[in-house]
Amino acid sequence: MLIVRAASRRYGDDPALERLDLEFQNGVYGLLAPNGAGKTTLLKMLAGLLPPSEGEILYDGEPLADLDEKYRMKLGYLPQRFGYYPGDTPLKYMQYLAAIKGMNRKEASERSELLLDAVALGEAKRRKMKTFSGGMIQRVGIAQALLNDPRVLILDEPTAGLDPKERGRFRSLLTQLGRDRIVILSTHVVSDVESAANEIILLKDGRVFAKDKPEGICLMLAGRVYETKIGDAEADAFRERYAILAERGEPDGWRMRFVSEAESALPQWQAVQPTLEDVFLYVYRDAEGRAPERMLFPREPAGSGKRGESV
Amino acid sequence: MKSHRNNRIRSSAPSTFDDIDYPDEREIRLHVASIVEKALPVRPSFPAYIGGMYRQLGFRHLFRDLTEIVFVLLLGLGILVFMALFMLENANADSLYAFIFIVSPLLYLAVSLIFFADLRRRDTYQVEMACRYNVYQLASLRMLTFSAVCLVLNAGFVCWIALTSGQVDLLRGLLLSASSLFAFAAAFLYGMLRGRTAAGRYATVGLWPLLNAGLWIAEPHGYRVLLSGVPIYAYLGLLLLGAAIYVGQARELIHFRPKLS
Repeated sequence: MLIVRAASRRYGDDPALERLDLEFQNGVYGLLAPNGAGKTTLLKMLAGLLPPSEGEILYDGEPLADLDEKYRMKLGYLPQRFGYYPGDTPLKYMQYLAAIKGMNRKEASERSELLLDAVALGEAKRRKMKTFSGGMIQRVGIAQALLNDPRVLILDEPTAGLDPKERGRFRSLLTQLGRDRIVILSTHVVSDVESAANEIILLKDGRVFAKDKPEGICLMLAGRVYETKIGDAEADAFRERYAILAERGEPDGWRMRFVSEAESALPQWQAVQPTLEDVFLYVYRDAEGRAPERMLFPREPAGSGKRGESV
Repeated sequence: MKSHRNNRIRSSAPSTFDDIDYPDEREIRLHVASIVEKALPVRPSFPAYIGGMYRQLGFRHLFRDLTEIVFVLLLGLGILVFMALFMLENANADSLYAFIFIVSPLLYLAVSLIFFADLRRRDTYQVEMACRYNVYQLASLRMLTFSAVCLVLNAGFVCWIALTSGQVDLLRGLLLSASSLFAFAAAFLYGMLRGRTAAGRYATVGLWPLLNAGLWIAEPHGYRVLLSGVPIYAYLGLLLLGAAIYVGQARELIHFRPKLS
């Protein structure tokens, strides 16, 4: 079990994370927050790369600092920016990392080949990595994190650069991995964790805003999410008044998905089940009530309405 | 003990700690060993740790940048030979001792500096830091290897100067070179481990050539006499002290954690 106990982290005088208390058991944990919310800092602390300024992190009851390389032997880590030696082939790089992870040569060769096949890089294993696309590099990163069959797997934005097919494959891999180990991944793409994560952690202002099963997180907005159609004339006033989660231009107005705090809904409003993405957009909306711009688009593909999507 | 416990069970008396099955000797030893290991963890000795790391990694993985290292060593050696040729033409024995003392750490400085300069800037830093043998543990083994290689190259260089000039005592030259190398290497690692800023770290490195060149220029006669007049056992003492401090610094690298801001 991995335990974060009253852990804070400061950069100079700036607090990045404040008094976090978290527990991780076997399963998949999705760390969801917009960029700059402290996800990477938390993951670096969990990987033992960054000591907490205050508090402590324990694995099976022992502080990470005391466990030192014993912890690293059980750890798989994919940093946000996965570095590599451009002149290496993925096979050579994996064998090097396997060696410094403490694996013997035979085991290193076998696992490297197996994992490169698993991330669909079997045919490219002898090509130099400088010729690889971003998605291929990221897949090498995912494979290397699994080399030592880690008990704790920490992945910082693992799906960056992956295409939809690769994302799907990655999600099913996550589900399998989470059965018998701790898997913690950070993302700002809700669909990455919606189906695969056993628990979601929302970070806000350097603190844990919520930690629950995806269904539990969705309950935060139960009975408050609606969809309705608004004419052009009322659209601006409507946007001012409600927290808009998504909107789509239609021939005779706008279809809005929004949150209402009012106890009674208007007859023309259609109540809908809140999704994880709704919660994400609502929690991280800005001071004017606007949702994070980049998150509005995944719901409705571009070009689906005459006027397109708007924020 | 066992019969006493059985009697209690038969008599259906209230259960006590005595009713718990007493473990056998083997189980007791295992539990004691596990408690002692947790309470008083035994760390392998530094040589055993370094040896184990080398056996695990092998030469191939330890020196990924072997081409660059060999290039820097050959280039450095070429420059040293060129400077030595000039010195052999124009200098006496005292000046040659001063020359050996000043230039002996330069090969080590060159290969170590290119390694440390981009250590934390490398893209692979984070991935390697999360592995069993992290960047600084690898660095420890590399530094020890660098110093051994430089010791051998310097010895060859001193032998060549001694043979060519006919003025340099070989034993004094070798001790001068080795003590200079280890004194510098110890100061180098000390600066790298404890320097709070990049400027602070590199100041330690720059101090050596500046101090020696400064003394040579300011008081040439006194500097030369000092180096050639000090008894050989004093150099032996400096060598042993420098080597001991250097190995101590290399050991500290094993457990080193950078202060990240």
